Amino acid sequence: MPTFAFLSVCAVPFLWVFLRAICLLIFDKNYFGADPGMELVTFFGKVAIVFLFMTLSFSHLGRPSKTLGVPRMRRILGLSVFFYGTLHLVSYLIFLAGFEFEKYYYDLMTKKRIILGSLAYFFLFLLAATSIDSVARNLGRAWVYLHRSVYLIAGLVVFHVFLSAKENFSFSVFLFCAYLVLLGFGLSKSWRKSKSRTPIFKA
Amino acid sequence: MAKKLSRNTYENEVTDESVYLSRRSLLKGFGASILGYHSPSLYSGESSSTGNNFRSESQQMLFQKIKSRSKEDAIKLADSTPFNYASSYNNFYEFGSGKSDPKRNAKKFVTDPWEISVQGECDGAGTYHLEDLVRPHLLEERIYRLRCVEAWSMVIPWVGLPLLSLIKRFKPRSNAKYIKFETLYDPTQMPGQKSLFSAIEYPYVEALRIDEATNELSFLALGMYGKILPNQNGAPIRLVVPWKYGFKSIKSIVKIEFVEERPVTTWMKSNPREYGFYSNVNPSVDHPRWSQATERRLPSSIFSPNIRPTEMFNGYGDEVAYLYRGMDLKKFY
Repeated sequence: MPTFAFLSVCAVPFLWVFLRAICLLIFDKNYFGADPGMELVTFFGKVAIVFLFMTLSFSHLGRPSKTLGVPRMRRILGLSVFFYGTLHLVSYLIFLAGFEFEKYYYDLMTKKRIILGSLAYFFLFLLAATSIDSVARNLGRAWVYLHRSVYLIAGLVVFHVFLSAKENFSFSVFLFCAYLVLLGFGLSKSWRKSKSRTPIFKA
Repeated sequence: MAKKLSRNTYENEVTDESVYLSRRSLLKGFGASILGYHSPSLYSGESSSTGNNFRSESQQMLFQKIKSRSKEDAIKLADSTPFNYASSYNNFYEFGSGKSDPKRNAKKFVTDPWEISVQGECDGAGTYHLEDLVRPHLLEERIYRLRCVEAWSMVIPWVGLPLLSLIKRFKPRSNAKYIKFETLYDPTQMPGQKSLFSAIEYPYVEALRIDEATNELSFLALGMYGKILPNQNGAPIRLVVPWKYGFKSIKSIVKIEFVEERPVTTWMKSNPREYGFYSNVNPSVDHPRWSQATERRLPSSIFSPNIRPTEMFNGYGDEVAYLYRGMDLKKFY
């Protein structure tokens, strides 16, 4: 049951958009502002970032008791990142690239932030695909290394955000600092644990 | 000190209503045939949320002038972006970098009295009250497409006067090669000018080559949608150069200077790789971070993204292309 509650919380941002879309259909009123495409792209992007950084900080909350089901919650968080990342990408494809894959391809070839974002999404996809218990068990130690790429994803995302800012870099700077702190925690933790072989993931 | 200009003839007398109405019905047919399309449903008629309540006589005068020139039918026929979107989705970094910040933060912005200082290579230098600058002119309404460098666009019915007619009165000398504009610098009123993380230096500076400025399309807007310009849209007076990206159309102008050397404009200074002096709308020259080939015509809906191809010079090529003949627009972006 706590898992379900947690899942519902993670779904709130999506439900918020969904509700507005339904209201738009029913009442024929615009709830998304003048530029709904951009609004959705940035909204989903920001939600994905929040979940990503929550996932990262989740590992550093101290040693959690097993009964809390922390790994499971972390997996839900991670999958939420993937979910909102997907919505971010899809809304970009629909509203900014006009559903023309040529345009996406062109952006991918010429725009750094699109390359960074796509790369981050590619890794996110790998992590989501290997998040099932059986796959995780089969991968064994490799799974652990693979899932450390979440730090790589976060790094890519920080630069993706930095390159998307126009003149106000406060959010990018904040994100970069948060990233450095979390990366520092992660590195020191792996340093301390480098000898021990505790399984990180337990279903 | 404010100096009064000699008054030109002006014919802004009240027209008999029946004459006016028949003129409007004429316009209706005329406009439709020009534009070839119409979607009245986009126009929201009731939008009285601008501060069209006046503190002074000069504002009253301005309002009368603007109102008398507004052709409501034309607004409807023009496929305009509804007023509430055009006045709530703004880039006016002096009032914050979010799109809805300017509307919120510019509520108490004082635009009356307003003085404009004219300087540099001209015989008409001096400081003028806005009302003295405007009074002798017959205002006109112009429906222009506005293309933002961020790849969105709107259609807005401006009311104002051609920049050329003001420039003539300032009598620039032959060595005035550029005309430079400055926005008000007043951090007490404009919170964005105090922002710590902003990469923009204030006051905001924009400039045009003198032949661009004297082009027929260059326009100074005092109103839009038949109302006094809302503060967030650059009240009381702003530039509109529709064939260039929106940021060239500087808002809340307090200084006009005729200069010999090409000025460094605000966005050029902030990021010279991304923003050039000319900043003509050009679908084939990308912004380094996004393509300019298409644009989102606002308002769009989540069920119809309303993406359309961007036109060279924002579709005003006939009027302005000659200005750039022989220039490599990839180099002079």
